[in-house]
Amino acid sequence: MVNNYCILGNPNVGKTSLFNALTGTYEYVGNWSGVTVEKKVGRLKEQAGDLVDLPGIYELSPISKDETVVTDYLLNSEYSGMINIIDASQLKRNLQLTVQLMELGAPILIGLNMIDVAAKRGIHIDQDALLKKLKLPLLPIIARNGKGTHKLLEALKDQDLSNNRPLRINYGENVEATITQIVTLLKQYSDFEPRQFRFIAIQYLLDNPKVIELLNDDLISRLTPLHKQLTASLTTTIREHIQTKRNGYIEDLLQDTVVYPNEERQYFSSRLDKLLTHKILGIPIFLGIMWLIFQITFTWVGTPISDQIDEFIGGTLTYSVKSAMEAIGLFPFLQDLITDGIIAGVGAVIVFVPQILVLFFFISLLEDSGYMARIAVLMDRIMEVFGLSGKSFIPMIIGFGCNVPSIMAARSIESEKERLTTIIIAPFMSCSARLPVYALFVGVFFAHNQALVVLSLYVLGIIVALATSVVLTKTVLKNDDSVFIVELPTYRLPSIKTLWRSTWEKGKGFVKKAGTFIFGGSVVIWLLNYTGPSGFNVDVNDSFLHVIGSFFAILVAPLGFGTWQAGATLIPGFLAKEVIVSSMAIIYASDESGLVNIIQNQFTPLSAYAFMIFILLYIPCLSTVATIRKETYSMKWTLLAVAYPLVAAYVLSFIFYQVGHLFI
Amino acid sequence: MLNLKTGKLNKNYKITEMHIQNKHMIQRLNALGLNHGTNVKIKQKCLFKGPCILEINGQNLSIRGCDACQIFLEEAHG
Repeated sequence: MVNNYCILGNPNVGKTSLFNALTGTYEYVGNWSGVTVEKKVGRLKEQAGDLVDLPGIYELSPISKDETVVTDYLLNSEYSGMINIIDASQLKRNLQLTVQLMELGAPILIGLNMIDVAAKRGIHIDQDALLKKLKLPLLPIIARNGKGTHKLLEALKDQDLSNNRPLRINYGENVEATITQIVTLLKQYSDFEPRQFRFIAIQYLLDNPKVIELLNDDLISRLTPLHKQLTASLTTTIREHIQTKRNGYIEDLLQDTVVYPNEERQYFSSRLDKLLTHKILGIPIFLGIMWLIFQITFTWVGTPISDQIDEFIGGTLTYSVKSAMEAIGLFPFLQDLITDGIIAGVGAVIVFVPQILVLFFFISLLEDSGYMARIAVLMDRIMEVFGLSGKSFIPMIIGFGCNVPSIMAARSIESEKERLTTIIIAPFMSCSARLPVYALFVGVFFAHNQALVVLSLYVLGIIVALATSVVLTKTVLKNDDSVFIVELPTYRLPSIKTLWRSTWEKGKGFVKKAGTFIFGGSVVIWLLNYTGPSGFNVDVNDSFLHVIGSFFAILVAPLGFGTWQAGATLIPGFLAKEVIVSSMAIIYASDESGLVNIIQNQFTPLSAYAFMIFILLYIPCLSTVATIRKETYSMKWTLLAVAYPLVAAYVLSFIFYQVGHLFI
Repeated sequence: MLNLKTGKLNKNYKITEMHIQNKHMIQRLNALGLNHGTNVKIKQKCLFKGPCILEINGQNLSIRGCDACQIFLEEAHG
């Protein structure tokens, strides 16, 4: 059997950094049966086995969905051992989880991370003494720069992690008596391994929903009286009681092994927070940062590079490919397909890669620096007005990059209703794939106010999202179980390597799409444009695309853009929003008068804006819809997520165009 | 009564009682180290009854104003 290990730990203690250091690359993204949620799986260096990177958890009783994944994995999967990574500067809190893992009794290796940070803060840890007290292998590491990770790998390879005897903390007379009774029942009525009995009993008493799921009704009916009896006999809740005992155990562990500094020092992070989370300046600073990001992405860096690529693809590349094909005497049909179909279609999207990578770079920077958590705090009061919490704001910002990761990011929201609301509204955030459409139209109609017009669309997306949230949270998704606790990590300057890696992880999908969806879409669109009921190489006006486009044109005519070309772009836009521009490039490439000329003839500034509103809001792309289905487990919500934006897009574009028409 | 909402900024307090009703919320607070007897410092309060930022065991956390006023304190010495 291949050895496989999992990495466990509190959120933000460097699990993924360790994962990357131990594996080198992401091997594949695995799906486990039952839980359709992605966990990262990698192959350990030096053939030491497989490694699973799990989301961060504070304890084994899950509240949010990503925590469910971890508990589920621990209870239902087979693994050779766990690597519990703990933050040396936050030992007390991190050991809470360690204690629970030790109670589980599976082989465990402890990676003591961020020893450098702890040392800097004046926290002195006697590692040997701690190791002796814990009776577990403990290795110091600095996951960020990979220090010590080699030793950890060696440890995994060399010593077969043996099954530890599950940790036994004495929880006091009453609790221990109940645990003994529960264990007796588990022996009789369940098929857990005997080693796990005590662990299951404790987790049951703590109301761990994942453990309760594993117990059958008969067993539960026998356990419930014991639970009630114990609750009645204690002066505090069971949870509080167990927590106090565990804290006592942890304090014992840390006694004589860890020395904390006496004096209080002002750290850089605290000083920075004084400004960035300032009660008056906080939000203006945040808006300023967002403005700066957009400015750099769209005006200063992204667009100039995009323009150069555009020039290269439209000019040098097209001509050289054309002459090369002519030289070898390729079929004219194939020549047209390659230049007017593939190069025009895929090229129209490739042009936007620089802008998108720049945007993803900044989103990664927000995430890795620790500022993202502050944004959640700053925006919470405002989001509360709309029935959400500050945590929903993070998926919304990520949504500016791409809606797919934004919907997945909603997993960390504890309240199920709040998570659902966030998922439904996230696609209204204008993702980078919609940007090419705006870029094209503002360039033609609003050349002097480009940034402002594009910004107005982003704002409109946010307004529609928030309005939707108000409606949802006041009706079907009324939320009375909101959990808002945000941990504010220490600020850190992410390394270029990490930043590049996470930018690429995000941007990769986009480039991949260019090679698949957009490539395929371009070929199909070109073929539909090239063929017609009467045969091949037909006049544009006799093509299949014209027929299809004309049908949709009738439907969208009241919105101001009832031309067959505009209509024809809407269907492929569902595949991927980028294909809208690809289709336009292909359709208009067949006309001698050129792209800008046709758009100018067919649209007015008013109808162009109505078109952009429609593109902004209408049906989320195919990948987003699939993600919504996966994350909501519900066909009903997925259908709503498809139908509602379509209706909203139609109504708003209609109102905008018709009302605007009265004045212009 | 003195609570996390009414307490002064940057002063050392000790938690005496937690009256939060939401089970999940209390579970998460405990996991992050907020218990009876924990030392805590209020670092920042946002405007309009917004969230506040706390420091416990050298880590910073933020909770909402409405939860903060359910966590009662006494002055800690030292």
